[in-house]
Amino acid sequence: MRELWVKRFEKGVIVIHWLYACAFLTLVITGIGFEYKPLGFLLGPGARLAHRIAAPVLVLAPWVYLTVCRRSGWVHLKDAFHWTREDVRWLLAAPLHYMLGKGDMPPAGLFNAGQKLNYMTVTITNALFGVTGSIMWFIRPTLPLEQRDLFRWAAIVHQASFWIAITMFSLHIYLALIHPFTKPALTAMLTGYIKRSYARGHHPRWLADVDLAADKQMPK
Amino acid sequence: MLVDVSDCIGCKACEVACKQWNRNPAEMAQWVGSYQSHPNLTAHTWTLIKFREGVRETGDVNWTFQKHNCMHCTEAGCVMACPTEALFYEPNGVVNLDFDKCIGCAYCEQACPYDAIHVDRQLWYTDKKAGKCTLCYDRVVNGLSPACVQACPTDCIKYGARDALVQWGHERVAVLKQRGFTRATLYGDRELGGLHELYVLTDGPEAFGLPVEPVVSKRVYIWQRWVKPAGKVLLGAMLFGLLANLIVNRFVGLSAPEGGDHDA
Repeated sequence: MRELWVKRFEKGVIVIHWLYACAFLTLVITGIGFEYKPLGFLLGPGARLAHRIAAPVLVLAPWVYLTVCRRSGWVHLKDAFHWTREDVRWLLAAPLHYMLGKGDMPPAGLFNAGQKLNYMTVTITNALFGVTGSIMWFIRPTLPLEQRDLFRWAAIVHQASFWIAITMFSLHIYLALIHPFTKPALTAMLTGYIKRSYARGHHPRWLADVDLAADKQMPK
Repeated sequence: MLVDVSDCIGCKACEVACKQWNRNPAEMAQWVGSYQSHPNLTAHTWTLIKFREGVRETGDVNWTFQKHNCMHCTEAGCVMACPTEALFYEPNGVVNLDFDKCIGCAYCEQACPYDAIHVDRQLWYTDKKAGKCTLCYDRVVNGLSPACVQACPTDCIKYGARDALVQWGHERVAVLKQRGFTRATLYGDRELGGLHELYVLTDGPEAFGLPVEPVVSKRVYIWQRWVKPAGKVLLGAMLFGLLANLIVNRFVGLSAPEGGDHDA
């Protein structure tokens, strides 16, 4: 049977995703030396410059996404922050399922609970990176001795965000490139389409919505 | 190093000698309203006499000079915060700075309880470096005394073994107390694990603008000693989990079935 494909993401979403990925990787490479001393050689004036070029890209990318991809951007955001009992069940069942392939997963919609968690991590750490990074970049030079706890707090939150983001990032990469169940979904971020069979397996409620919407548009 | 404030005449010869030896450029600064030369230490001004004017309880004018520079703490906030190990302890307790390793991130500046280390704020694209008193480490390892000590006309800055200086300081404080400076103190003996810059003060530390109980902020500890290892554990646990997942997947022969609806 010929494989049928279903549209998953519009072009704008894909472009923003990869823009964000580039900015994130640049920031990780130019900043990780602060957290891990053996990589301290990566730090320096060039790294500082690169960090400060990539930082605004990272911080502004979500806003560009919400402006340009007005249709799906807000839908994605709303879905990711909308949690139900089903999502909790999904999250509890996931480790065993993705480890041994056993057990049924509760049917997911547009995003499953894991994707929601990833989405939330990205958006929340993004906001934290933006706020604390701005403090360290712009407010530091004017901070008198008594107010330097502000900088220290900013540094603490910035580094905590980094560790949370990089942890989620490693899971994200693993599922996208290595895990046999989720690997096929990579096409969604390349061409914008996923196989219908994959959608039926992983996002049955979303596929039903898509089909319903398509049906409604069909001329009677 | 010990500064006997009671013998200081505020001549600033130490400031000039410091600039000269360390080849620091002169810096134009705004008048601060007193005889003080600069408002604060900077990346190119490593020692500065702070002038304070006030009125004593007796109604007399109180005029104090404090030679301010790096205190060379035993528990130094700057060393703790430095990500590249550019700041480090010399065997004799001096906190030294390796300019080649310094990346100018200014974490040290934000961690120092004495505001004694700074990063220059020239144009944003220039190669920024921190700068602070090194206790003329290059001189002292070659048997010379620090430049400021050499230049001081009243010998109020003393250089020598710390124990001997502490003992001398206590004796000097006792003498000062007899002479009517009832609140005279030796500063730096115990502060932050023991400073390598000691002061014989004619009054309490607060009268000289020195913190009475200096501490490296708890936030610096959280930042450098707690969150870093916690983050490594978090990422490590995730990577361990992923590796376990990979191995188990291979072991049970997990693969996406044709059609892909394995979990529908």
